[in-house]
Amino acid sequence: MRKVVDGKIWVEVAEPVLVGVTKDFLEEIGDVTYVGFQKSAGDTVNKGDVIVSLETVKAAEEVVCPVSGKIVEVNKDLENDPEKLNEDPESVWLVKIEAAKEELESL
Amino acid sequence: MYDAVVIGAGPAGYVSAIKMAHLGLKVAVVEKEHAGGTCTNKGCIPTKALLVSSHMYHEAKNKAKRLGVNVQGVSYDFKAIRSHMQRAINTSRKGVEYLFKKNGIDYVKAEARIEKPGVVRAGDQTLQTRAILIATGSKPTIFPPFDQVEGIWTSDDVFKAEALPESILIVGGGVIGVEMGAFMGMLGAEVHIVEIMDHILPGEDQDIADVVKKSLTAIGVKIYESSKVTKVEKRGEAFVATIETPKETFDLRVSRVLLSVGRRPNIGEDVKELGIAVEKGIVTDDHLRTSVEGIYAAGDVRAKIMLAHVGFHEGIVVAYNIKGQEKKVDLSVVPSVIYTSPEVSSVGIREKDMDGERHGVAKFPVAASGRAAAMGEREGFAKVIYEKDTGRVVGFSMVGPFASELVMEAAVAIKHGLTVEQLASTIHPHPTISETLLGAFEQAEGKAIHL
Ligand SMILES: Cc1cc2nc3c(=O)[nH]c(=O)nc-3n(C[C@H](O)[C@H](O)[C@H](O)COP(=O)(O)OP(=O)(O)OC[C@H]3O[C@@H](n4cnc5c(N)ncnc54)[C@H](O)[C@@H]3O)c2cc1C
Repeated sequence: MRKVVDGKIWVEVAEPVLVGVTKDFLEEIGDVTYVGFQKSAGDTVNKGDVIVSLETVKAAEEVVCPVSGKIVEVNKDLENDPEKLNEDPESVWLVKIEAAKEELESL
Repeated sequence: MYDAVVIGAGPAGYVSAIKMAHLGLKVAVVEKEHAGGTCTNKGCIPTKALLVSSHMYHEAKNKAKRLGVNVQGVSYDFKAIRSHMQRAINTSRKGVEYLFKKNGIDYVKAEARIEKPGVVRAGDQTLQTRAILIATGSKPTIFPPFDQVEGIWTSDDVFKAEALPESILIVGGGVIGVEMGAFMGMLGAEVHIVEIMDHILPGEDQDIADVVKKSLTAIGVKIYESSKVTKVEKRGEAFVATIETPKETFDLRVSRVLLSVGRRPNIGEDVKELGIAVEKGIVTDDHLRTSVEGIYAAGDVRAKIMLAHVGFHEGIVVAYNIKGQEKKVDLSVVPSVIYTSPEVSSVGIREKDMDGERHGVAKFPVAASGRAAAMGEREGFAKVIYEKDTGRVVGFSMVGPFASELVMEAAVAIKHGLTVEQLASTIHPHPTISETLLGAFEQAEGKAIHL
């Protein structure tokens, strides 16, 4: 099941949870030129923590974590190839998180 | 049917395409390599990115301590410097592609060939158009004996290098040679620069070049002026070059040779076959029309002033003319910048070209500025050339901190006929390096307060 937060971030409710950004959001901020991960696998994160910074052709945007939990994996490939994200934001995930059920339900 | 097809997505081509889209024209851009052209991919942007890294390394090593900052074990990682450069290139390149998309410009990645006026072949597509803009730019010049030796670098190769060369001979002490020399010298390579004219940066005044020379010499760069390379040979992995200076002739062994002796326009066979007039570059009138109706040229391919911002200006002029709103090219006030440490900038008439009867010159040192003292910078000066009878500013040169950004005050003054009195009576913020300019304007008026 997929939930969208603020129209910007999508959360694929699964185990683990996948987090990405929406096509609408990318259209607003412009093509991404650099994906900088602020967290690594194993880090504990709280809802609202910055997990990724996206540099685009006209802005620098921060993606905050929509749920609390533990980062399982970050999509390191994007560091070298941000183009993947531009091509298909709705299916390219940024981070995988082990998140608490209750928080997911309240999204 | 397009209103215009632009060949080349460098500064001249891409800006023209965007401006034409703004003016409501239907435009396609054809590019065989990358959006942004030389400037984004092998010119302005990567050189500046490299220089930012080398400068920070140099400052951490040589200046931090004086400012009370202890930095231990300063080192650099050439691969990471390259990724920083690549990231700057990507951002700039993507930015241009994004603007094409946003403005509804068709971007065709192919080599273009003009079949006849109104018809451009781009790969397997044929584009029909009312007007064509040739903005195919330029490439590095290579001439004998350098073209006969394998492995000689041009600026293009520096950006592909996997490692810093241990030692390098740079042939040509113009802007590109000096910026490359500064980059490699700051990182600790053994750098030799050979310049045929009597001083490096021959486009600038001797006193400006001398400050840059002093700073390069301080980082260990060897400079040979009024000198030339008469022979170069590959010996194993290294190169041996014969250098003729006014004092002696000697052989120098280096691991690399970089040729930076200028650039020549990219003029395709199609241009020649169509009979478009070519001298050094493609010939145009001041509306940037070539000798063939419906075909325009802008940027380095004209071989006038080979700078990105000149390309921007020319691209805009072409856009208006294709739209039918007449506009003339005006290269009377073109600022130029050299990103050494300290930086150099100039605009308008240089002192060496001024008319001693009509023009006066006034100088003010960077060292007299409070901001410079706070920054621990002592080198450099600002210099203004003005008309003696009217006080109008006609030229400006500077070497010193932030010179690249400060040149615009003088450019606006020259373009709009402002006088040294008008500039001197404008309050300049304190403490800033802009007060160096203020000092020069006051000096031109009579006497600077802070000198
Ligand atoms: C090392 C270096 C540093 C520089 N630093 C600065 C600086 O700091 N400031 C500054 O103002 N200038 C700088 N320049 C100069 C600046 O890069 C050029 O003046 C500028 O890029 C010229 O723009 P242009 O659009 O005329 O041509 P280019 O930028 O050369 O673009 C032409 C484009 O046309 C494409 N092309 C050519 N033929 C065809 C064809 N048949 N079909 C399709 N595409 C084609 C090429 O691939 C290229 O992308 C530097 C140059 C170099 C080499």
